Amino acid sequence: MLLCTANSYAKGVYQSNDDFLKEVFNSGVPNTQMLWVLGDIKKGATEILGDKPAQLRVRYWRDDQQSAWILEEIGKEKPITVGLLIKDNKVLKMKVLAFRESRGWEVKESFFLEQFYQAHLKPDLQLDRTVDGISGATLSVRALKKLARLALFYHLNVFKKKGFEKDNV
Amino acid sequence: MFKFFTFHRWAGLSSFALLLLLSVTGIMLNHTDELGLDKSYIDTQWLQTWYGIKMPEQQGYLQLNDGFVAQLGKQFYFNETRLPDENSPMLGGVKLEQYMVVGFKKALYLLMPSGELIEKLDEGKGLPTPISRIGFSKTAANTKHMTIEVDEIFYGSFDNFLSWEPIENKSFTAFELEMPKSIGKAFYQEIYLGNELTLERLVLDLHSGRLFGSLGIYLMDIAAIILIMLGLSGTWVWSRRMFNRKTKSRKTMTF
Repeated sequence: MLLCTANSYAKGVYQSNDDFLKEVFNSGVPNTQMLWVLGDIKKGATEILGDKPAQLRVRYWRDDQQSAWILEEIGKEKPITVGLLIKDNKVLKMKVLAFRESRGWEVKESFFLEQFYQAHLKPDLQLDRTVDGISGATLSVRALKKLARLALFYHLNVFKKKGFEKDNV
Repeated sequence: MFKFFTFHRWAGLSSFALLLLLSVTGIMLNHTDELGLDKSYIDTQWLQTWYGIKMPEQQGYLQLNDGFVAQLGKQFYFNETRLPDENSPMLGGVKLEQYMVVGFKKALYLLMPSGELIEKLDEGKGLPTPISRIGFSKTAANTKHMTIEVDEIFYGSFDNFLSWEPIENKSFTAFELEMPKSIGKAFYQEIYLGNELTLERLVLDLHSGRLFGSLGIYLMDIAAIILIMLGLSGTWVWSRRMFNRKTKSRKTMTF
């Protein structure tokens, strides 16, 4: 019964998308922009996700140096919503905004998410580090790793196009 | 000791089939992802009947851009391609110059003419909900504009569906659901039934015994208890034999 109670408190919406954006952009949330997941971007996203991306259009928010992404990936059966802030091609902030599965909610804890701080993409589209898993949350951990790689990959494409930054890749 | 040995032998033999089932299904469940159990669907009719799978009450159909859109329970299709699930009921759809838009009470799905999903819009993305109707309104310039009705207020988007603003309701025409004449429910019944029961659920129910109702659960409980007793009786028989062997060899050494 205790476990059931813990689970019912663990899943849910922890932070709204708007609140996340207000938190990461102190001086005001920039206008929403769209990245079309087509051509090489689609190819890269497919490689990261291991499947075709679910949507052809992704929303993002950016200023001159950083970009914010709110992405979703299915853990076991239901999507996990994650907010990411990328700066200088590295993960600056990562938060689980909503978790809908009955198991694996531990991925929202800071001890796990801190592992992604300053992570960047290697040329093979893998993270530059090993992220330790959590027993009983294998699929959620896998989903979050994919989302971190995806946000870094999208960020690179957005900033490369505009010529703001040099690639880390 | 003889009694324990006899018990061990008969318990082992009688529960072998159940233990085999427990072990094989357990190994399969440990490798659900690698085996793709959650992505494999069972279309065997008697198993679907056994599980009581039938067409859901929530159904919606419409024809859009020479294709068919269907909602069957939470399953959502463009032609035969399954799109992400949607729980709220489908209301209608419109064809725009570049996109198709299918409206649900709590979401809008933007689709390419080929049926590929461009984006799912919901409350989290600023979509006003609950939507009651979807259709076209005439703008001041007398052009048609896609409009949704929420709580008797009409909303339109002028930035590619990134944001929504209330608009004046001018000759609103709703696009409602309609069963396409060229297809029947039977077409989608087959698709729905073939996409509902996963192999993972079957293996899980075999493992727990639930496939055979509450009797199956008790059978699996008995199998698990026998497994524990086999371990205990096996250890007992082995330790007695070791004890006897040591006693025998000691006696031999004495003589």
